[in-house]
Amino acid sequence: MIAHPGFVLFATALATVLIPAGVARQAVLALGAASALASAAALPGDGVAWTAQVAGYQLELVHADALARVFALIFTLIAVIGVVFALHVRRASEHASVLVYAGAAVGVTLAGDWITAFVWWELMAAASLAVIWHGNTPRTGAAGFRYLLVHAAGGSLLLAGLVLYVAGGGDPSFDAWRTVWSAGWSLPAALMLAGVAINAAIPPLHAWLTDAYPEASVTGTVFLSAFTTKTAVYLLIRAFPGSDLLLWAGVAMALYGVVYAVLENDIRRLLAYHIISQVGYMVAGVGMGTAMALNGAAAHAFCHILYKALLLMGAGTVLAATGRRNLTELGGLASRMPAATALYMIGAFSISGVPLFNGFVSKSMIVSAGAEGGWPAVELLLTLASVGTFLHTGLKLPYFTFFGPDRGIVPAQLPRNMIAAMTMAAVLCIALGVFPGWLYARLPFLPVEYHPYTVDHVVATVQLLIGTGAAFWVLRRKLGGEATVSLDTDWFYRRPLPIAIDALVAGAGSVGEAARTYGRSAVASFGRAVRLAPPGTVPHFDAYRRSIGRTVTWVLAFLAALALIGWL
Amino acid sequence: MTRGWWLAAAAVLAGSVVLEIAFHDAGHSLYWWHDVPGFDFVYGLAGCAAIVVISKAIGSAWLQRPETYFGEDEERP
Amino acid sequence: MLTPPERLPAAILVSLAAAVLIAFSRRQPNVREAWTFLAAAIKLGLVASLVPAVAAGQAVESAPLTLLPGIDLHFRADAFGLLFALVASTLWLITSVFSVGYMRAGSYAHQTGYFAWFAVCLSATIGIAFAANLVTFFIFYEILTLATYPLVIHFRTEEAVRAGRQYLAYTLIAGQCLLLAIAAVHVIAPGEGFQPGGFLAGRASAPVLTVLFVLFIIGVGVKAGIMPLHGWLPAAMVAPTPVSALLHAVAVVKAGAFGCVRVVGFVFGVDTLHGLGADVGLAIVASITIVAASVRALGEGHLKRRLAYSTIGQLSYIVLGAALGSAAALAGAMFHIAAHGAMKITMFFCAGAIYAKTHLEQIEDLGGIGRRMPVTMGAFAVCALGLAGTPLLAGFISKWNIGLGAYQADRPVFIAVLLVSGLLNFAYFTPIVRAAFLGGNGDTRVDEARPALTVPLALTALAAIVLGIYPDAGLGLYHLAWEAARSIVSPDSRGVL
Repeated sequence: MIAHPGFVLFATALATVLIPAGVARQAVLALGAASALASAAALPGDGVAWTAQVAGYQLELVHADALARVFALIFTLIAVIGVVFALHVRRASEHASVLVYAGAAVGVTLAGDWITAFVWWELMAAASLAVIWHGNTPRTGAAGFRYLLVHAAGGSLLLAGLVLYVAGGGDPSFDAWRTVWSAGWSLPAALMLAGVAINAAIPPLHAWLTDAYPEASVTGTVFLSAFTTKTAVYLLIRAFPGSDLLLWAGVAMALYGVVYAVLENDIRRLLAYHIISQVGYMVAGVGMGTAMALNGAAAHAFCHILYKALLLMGAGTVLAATGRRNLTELGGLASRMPAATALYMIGAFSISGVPLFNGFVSKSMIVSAGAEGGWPAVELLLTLASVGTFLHTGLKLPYFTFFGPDRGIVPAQLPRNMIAAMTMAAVLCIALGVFPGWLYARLPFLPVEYHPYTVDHVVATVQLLIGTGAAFWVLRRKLGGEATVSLDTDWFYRRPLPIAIDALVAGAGSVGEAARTYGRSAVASFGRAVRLAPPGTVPHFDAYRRSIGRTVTWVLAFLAALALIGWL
Repeated sequence: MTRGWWLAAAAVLAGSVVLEIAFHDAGHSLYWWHDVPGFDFVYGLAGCAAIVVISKAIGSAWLQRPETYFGEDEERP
Repeated sequence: MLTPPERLPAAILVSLAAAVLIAFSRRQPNVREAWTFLAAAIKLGLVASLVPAVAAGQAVESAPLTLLPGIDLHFRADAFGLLFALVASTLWLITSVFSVGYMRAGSYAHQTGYFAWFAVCLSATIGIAFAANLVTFFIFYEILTLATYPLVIHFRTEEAVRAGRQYLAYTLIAGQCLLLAIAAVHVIAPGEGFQPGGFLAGRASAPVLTVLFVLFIIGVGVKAGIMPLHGWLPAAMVAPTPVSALLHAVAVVKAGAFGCVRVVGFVFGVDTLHGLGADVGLAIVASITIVAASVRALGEGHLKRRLAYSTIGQLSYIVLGAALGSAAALAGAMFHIAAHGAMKITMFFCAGAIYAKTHLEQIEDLGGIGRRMPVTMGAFAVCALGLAGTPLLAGFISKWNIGLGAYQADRPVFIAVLLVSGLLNFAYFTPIVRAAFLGGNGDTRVDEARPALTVPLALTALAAIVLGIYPDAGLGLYHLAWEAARSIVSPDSRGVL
């Protein structure tokens, strides 16, 4: 009997709700998450470890191969870090939401068939909505609602594809799907890919992420950044590798996030756009489909979860300590928040691909896969996106938040667990950067023939970063935040769609109203016509009120008598 | 202080170009830009500038609106 | 002990007997309530005892009782009828607990009449479930109509009486259409009862059969809330909430949907309707109802009325499944009787609990109620997810099957109707959940309604979860649904005990 890490997290969630706030609950949280990590590390090798027969379908709940295990490992690992970061939170429901969310994400990675994956996928959507709604900005409620509708639509597309596939006789297991996908596009595949693409935040279906993630709580956003998009990446690697569409979508994504991040004032929304940019690398890797590219996608997902969490924890601590989230209102915090600043910078170096940090060992794998696979444009464009990434997360955000002009803000004291969590993540970022072999040994396609620490790789990266830094310094005045919002593809369902829906609802209401009025006047005319009422009056049916009750009684008595007679 | 950073950066850059030329591996270079020393520095410089300029142009032309555009700073049921 | 065939009329009569006893116990409220519980428990026991035989494929039948030459009162418990009877009797037991709590919390008048008529309604419902032919079905169908009237007008206000009148107008007229159709069927196919796969094939010309089908659908469609015959349902929300919960979310409306599936699968037969082209027509009408009702729900500010429109939309899932006619679609439709019953009754229970505690009825007033009544609103949120088709909840099982069935029936476009409906469900339920948990003024004192109100809704919500994970849990409802669906699609000799 193996322990499914997802169920360990569910059990922890339940325990959290039942135990009142205090040290006991914190201990349970930490232990529970750690146990989940342990069980993820202990998952058995290839093969199906847990099947269930439900409603006539053979479902595979645990089908762990290398790809599944590396994702399960990072998901439980970030759950531990996130739980530590959130130890000070008192609301049980917030802990329960993030743990159920994490557990469902692990469920998807360990699923051996599409149906199981879909069940956990939808649970993730519901749980992540709950996570978002624990935020406390004025936009939290509305952003969460939009998030739900987008994810419900995505789930519907996935379901439509799945129903068509299964009804058409398809075998839902992922092993069988591999053959189907290698045969090329089909309507079910297109629908399912669209559904997964929404969760992967591939533009133009991405706006939910930048709309909703910054409105969650400081601790919630850390979890949000880890799971939904990376579960989608996992499914893409598993089910849809090697598609030109995904390759170019990924490249476009990488640059899209960078462009919007230039304009962004809210530090957490800026980092959200960078999630899109980094996931773009992963999607591009999936699209390339070669062993090195897919390894790169998996490795990048692993590293990204760590450093993005670190970055968001850093931005979160700024928000928690100062109450401010906009670059136009921040500055000069480094001297007063030295730990947060230093730890944030480690995350920034990681995402920028600075050698000796984990981003360097994963991002460059994808870029090299692009070069070696015969896509020169991909190599150049993804490198350009790297430039943008360093610009925003490594230069612009820290400059205007931590360094730069001092606005005399005095930050509040931070709970120690937040710094501890950030330190854990930072240590892992550096460790993976210095010893990439540990991660490489766990990638899906072994052996990994990529060596990140060659002279040309390191030299190229160093030059790139210096060039970017120089340009930033010269242009820095143009990069301060502006108090604006940028319109994104969600404009379509935030402006015209609500107006259309309101009109539709009002229209339906008036149709109903008109039908009722017409019906009533028709009945009244009928009543007059058959002389039920004196001509010229509106028949008032209450004139018959008393007789109805009696009529009912008489009718029932009659029927009872009939039944009695028949019986005798 | 800033001068110190510029000097350090210039030194590292020069060193990197030297290393690049010294360890250039013609077998590993697939495209023309893999052969040009210092290419990545120029690419980073120009790329960063391009990103900033183009993004800001797109932003001010089409994308940016006042913060209250969607009117959501009060809760709406 | 009663033999299985004897248990059928016994199950029907037990609550009639209870109604009489209740009427005589006016002065002792606790004795009076005890009759209800006793009858509900006995009824559930009788009905549940039939499960092993029916689940194995043997329908249980009692001897026909001749009322008039050629017109028999005949009861049979087949898989489909038993499924409906199980849902109704289980939920009656739970609703009775809720009823007692609700009526006593409000200290309402006319409680004796209320419990008595409630018992009669359940009699009629089981009679409908176990009807083996159209006449029996019709008799109990009309008894149900009449017996629900006093419950609708319970509060005796101007609005209630008007709603009751509207209810009777709709249902009695529909009853006449049904009577006409049944009489015609007796002419063209005398002596026939419900048969899996239908018995009208070739008995009359296509135009005649089509007209008959339309009459039948009008007859059952009023109770099933098919648009445009649905108008009585939102108005009937003026009744006490337990009435709305069991009767107008489970018994009455499900009787209509049940009748619809009986007509499609056991009177006409799927192939006959396909030949007439009537199945597409019904599917389209059902689809329009599903979408239009959901859109109307968006515009309703009164909580129970929004739930009423949601019910109208969800009922047409059952009608759509029947219209599609393939095995999976039928199974999904039948299972939805149970799934929707559990989920919708929970939501009505929540509405009732909220009203009992706070006297609030409008959605815009419900800000923060979730923090005050977390179990209640938690159950509401879970069932909202379930009705929208989220996996691990009962609604997904039916939605999945109807979707598969649409493909099997070569009409995959109807999958889109189900998906759009799911989105609309989210659209009109989420604001309630959101306001309940995120709105209000930050007061976090937990203050649930009394246990008699909160325990039932927790139980039915739990049932919705259990049925979603393991649809055959407890009474094997999923198995019964598939048994019945397969019998309609490929009829073979039915077993008689």
